[in-house]
Amino acid sequence: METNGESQDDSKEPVASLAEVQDAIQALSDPDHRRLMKAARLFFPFHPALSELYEPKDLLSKTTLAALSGERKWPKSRVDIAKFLVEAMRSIAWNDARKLKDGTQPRFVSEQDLQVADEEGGRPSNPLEVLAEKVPSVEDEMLEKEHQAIGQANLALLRAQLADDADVIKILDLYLKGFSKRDIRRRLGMTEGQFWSTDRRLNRRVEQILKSLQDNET
Amino acid sequence: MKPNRKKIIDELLLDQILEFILEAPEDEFLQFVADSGEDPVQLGREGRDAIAAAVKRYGKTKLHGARQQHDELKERIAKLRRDIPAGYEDKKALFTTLVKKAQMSGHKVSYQNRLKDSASEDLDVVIAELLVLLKNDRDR
Repeated sequence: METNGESQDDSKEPVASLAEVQDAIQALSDPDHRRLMKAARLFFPFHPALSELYEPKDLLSKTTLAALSGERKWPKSRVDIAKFLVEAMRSIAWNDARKLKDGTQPRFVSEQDLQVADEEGGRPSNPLEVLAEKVPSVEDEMLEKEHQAIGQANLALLRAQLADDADVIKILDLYLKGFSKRDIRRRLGMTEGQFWSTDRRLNRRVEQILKSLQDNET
Repeated sequence: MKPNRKKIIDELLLDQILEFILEAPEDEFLQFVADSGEDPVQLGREGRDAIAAAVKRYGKTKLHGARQQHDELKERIAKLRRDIPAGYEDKKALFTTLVKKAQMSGHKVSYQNRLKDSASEDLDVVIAELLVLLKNDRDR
């Protein structure tokens, strides 16, 4: 049911009413649209399988609809509408990618893809038998370790690529230590302009690495 | 602030870029978009269209819901009307019964005197109102 006043979610945190969500979404500016779309595109290198389901603009649309309908609740006192939508997109992307991995998310599969060859590469086996195979938890753990190892490798790759830019490395190191952007800027004694310009260079490199990883996976 | 050791590197890097996207000054953000080889105009248009599509879809869903609610209400009224007898005397008898029932349920019903010599159609309206009132009580 639609509410006009302030409401609360299960965690007792005040959340915006549906009317407030609608007003805030309709008041988003062109720069907001650009930033939201840029963020939507960013989730795909992290979850390449999502491309099987939809495009970045669909993710933004799906998230906006979830906010409008109240399926995703906006804690308006904690974050602004843009940050809320970005975090909701991140969560939806993560959920959909997990469902794809678990096989609980419907995906488009061609008949040809269903023809799974046996170990000798011979006649195709029954696809249902393949689907029925459950990944053992030990394997899950190994995959998790492998994922972490890939993360470390990505970090090493990033460091190597940033070696020629001392300021960028300094920001990255402090960020990985858990400092906020504001604290990093103060610690490094940079002006606003210097900081954001350096941070832009860092993020461009990070984005490049993520993109190359996605290209390698597809 | 202490680093979140459980958070894997990819997630931290994602946090880092998202923070930049949301908080960087407009000129730095636009430069970032340009460095990525993306067209900021197209990016903005795509974002605006995606949001507009969601707003439109939400509007349709709401409209559909409102129509459904209206149809249900119409059907409910029609059903209640079917329960109203055709004869004037029968209507008055039903009206009296319903008023008593409503009063026993704690409602203050005050239109008995006004409807003493009322037309049959007027009785239909108040009987329907009373039926709705009593049905709502039952549904509660």
